[in-house]
Amino acid sequence: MKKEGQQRSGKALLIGLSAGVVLTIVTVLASGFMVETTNTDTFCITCHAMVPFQISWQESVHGGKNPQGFAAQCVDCHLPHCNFVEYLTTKAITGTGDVVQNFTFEPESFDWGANAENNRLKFTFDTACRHCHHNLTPPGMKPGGFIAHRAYQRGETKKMCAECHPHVGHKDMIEVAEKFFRQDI
Amino acid sequence: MRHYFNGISIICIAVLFGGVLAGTSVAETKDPNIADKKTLVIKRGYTEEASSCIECHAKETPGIIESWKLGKMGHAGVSCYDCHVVDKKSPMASQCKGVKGTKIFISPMVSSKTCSRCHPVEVEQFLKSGHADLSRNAVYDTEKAGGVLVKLQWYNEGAAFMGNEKGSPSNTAPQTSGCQMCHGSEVQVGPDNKPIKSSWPAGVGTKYPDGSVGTCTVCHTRHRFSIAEARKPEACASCHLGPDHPDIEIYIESKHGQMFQTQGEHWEWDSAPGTWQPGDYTAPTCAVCHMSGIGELQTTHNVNDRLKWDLMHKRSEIRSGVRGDGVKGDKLMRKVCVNCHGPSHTESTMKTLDNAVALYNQYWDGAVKMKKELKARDLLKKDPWRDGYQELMYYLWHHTGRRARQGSAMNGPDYAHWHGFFQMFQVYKDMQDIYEWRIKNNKIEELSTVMSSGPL
Repeated sequence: MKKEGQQRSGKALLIGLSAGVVLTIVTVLASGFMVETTNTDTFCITCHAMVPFQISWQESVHGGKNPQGFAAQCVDCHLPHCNFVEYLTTKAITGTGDVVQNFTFEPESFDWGANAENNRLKFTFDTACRHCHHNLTPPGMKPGGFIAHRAYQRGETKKMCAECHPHVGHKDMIEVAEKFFRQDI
Repeated sequence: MRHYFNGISIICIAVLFGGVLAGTSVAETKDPNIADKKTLVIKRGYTEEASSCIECHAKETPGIIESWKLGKMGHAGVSCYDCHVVDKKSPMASQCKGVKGTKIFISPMVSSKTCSRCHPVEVEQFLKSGHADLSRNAVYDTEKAGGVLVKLQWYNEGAAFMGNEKGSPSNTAPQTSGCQMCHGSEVQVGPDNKPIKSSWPAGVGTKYPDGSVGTCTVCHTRHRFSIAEARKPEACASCHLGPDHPDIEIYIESKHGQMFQTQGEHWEWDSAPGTWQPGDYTAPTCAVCHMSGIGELQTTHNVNDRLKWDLMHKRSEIRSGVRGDGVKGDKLMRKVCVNCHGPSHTESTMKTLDNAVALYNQYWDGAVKMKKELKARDLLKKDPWRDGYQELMYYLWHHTGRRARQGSAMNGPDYAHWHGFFQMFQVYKDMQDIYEWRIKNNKIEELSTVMSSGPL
């Protein structure tokens, strides 16, 4: 009887320990510090394949090439901004995916152009754009954009931001990527 | 003496001066029919690049700029640059001589995808309509109707049956001069990303190298893109005419068309989008019934939205699936009618169409039944265009049958009757005779009994 009891408490200890370890990892990863640390472009380019996207981003309006010099970070556009849980979940899933991908694919032979065309809307979120772009019909806006944004706000179109504005985050992105990986070889 | 010299010098000067004058006038003489190149300098509201496109094209293609500057796009400050500049990586990206050496890439081709950047709702509706993929598929889809529609163009019309090489310029002439100009093409580009093989420009359902579909400029012609133009029947008439679907002829014959022709010049055509209502006009055009906002209905760019019957295909059915929702379409069209007609008038018109459709389907079903029997007894030629029965069956559906149905739908009695049912019964009787002869003699007659291009 005693032996069985010891076994049972040993098991419980093991479960408790592993749960503790997992919880600690999750807590640390989800902590403000880790979220902050992994939210920068310098962290993103620790994956080698991300380097050309940092380069082309730096040359774009969203990378700071604007009169104010204000730059949006990778995660400002590439994570959803509706609520904290979705933000963190998407961050965890896409981040893990990126790490796995980084070890399993060849960036030199990867079709970045087709990937951007086919999957753009899966990694650029309207809630992210709207986090900064509150006013979609600002003074001085051109009439074309005005009527399109009005239809968007009235819910008459299901189009997403990046469908009409596909190249705003990175300047000559595919060209830069292809050149970068060509040199790599 | 001195007088003399004075006189001589004056003459000399005069001659010299005259010579210079004459020389100048010779140098300036040119063909009086050639005008100077127009110059246009525009800065207002445009970036340097955008205004240089306008200024250069004012010299190179003044017709385009003249259209543009009189249209709504010009007034709204939407210029060449906004619609023609594409990403360098686009499969349509090329450079005109004006942007050679710069980082700007352009395409002469502009699809509905470009228009959708400012007009997303209109393009979304349009892409669901028969004017997009369905239109192009009719002449490009090798699977559709067992491939006979594609074969008609290259094998029969393009004379491959006479030995003309498939895909040669003369072989593709029927497609490039005819079919694709209304139905649309699949644009092919060369190594310089410019369109080749006369695959562009083309009609409403054109598919572009970047995968986008649709040509808005078919109805809102470039470069004025006029809403007033698209509201007029002439916009539809460039495709919806002729022996197989004489829609403009039917309209002109109808009471609606009579009023358009006699009163239309006094109508208001240019009301803002969504505000064009009875009063601006006293009778509907094609656009009023099929597209425009009227009464409680919103504008739609899906021309299938307000239709009950499919009056194009072999057997008329209530529209469903990709061709729309006929039950809903019937209700919507009635909401158009109520703006000018009482319920008995509308009901009578709708009932007339239902009856015409029922009659047409009766003819068609009879033809199908006879054909099945002929096929079972191996009494059909492999080439339908050498077989009187099959040729007549085509005309029963594609020409006379459509004229009867569409004439009934849109109040064109001459088309419903003389070009429609009056010819249908004769075509059908000829088909019956051929059918009976073949069954009786258990063979196919040696020559096609349809020697002309059929009932015109």
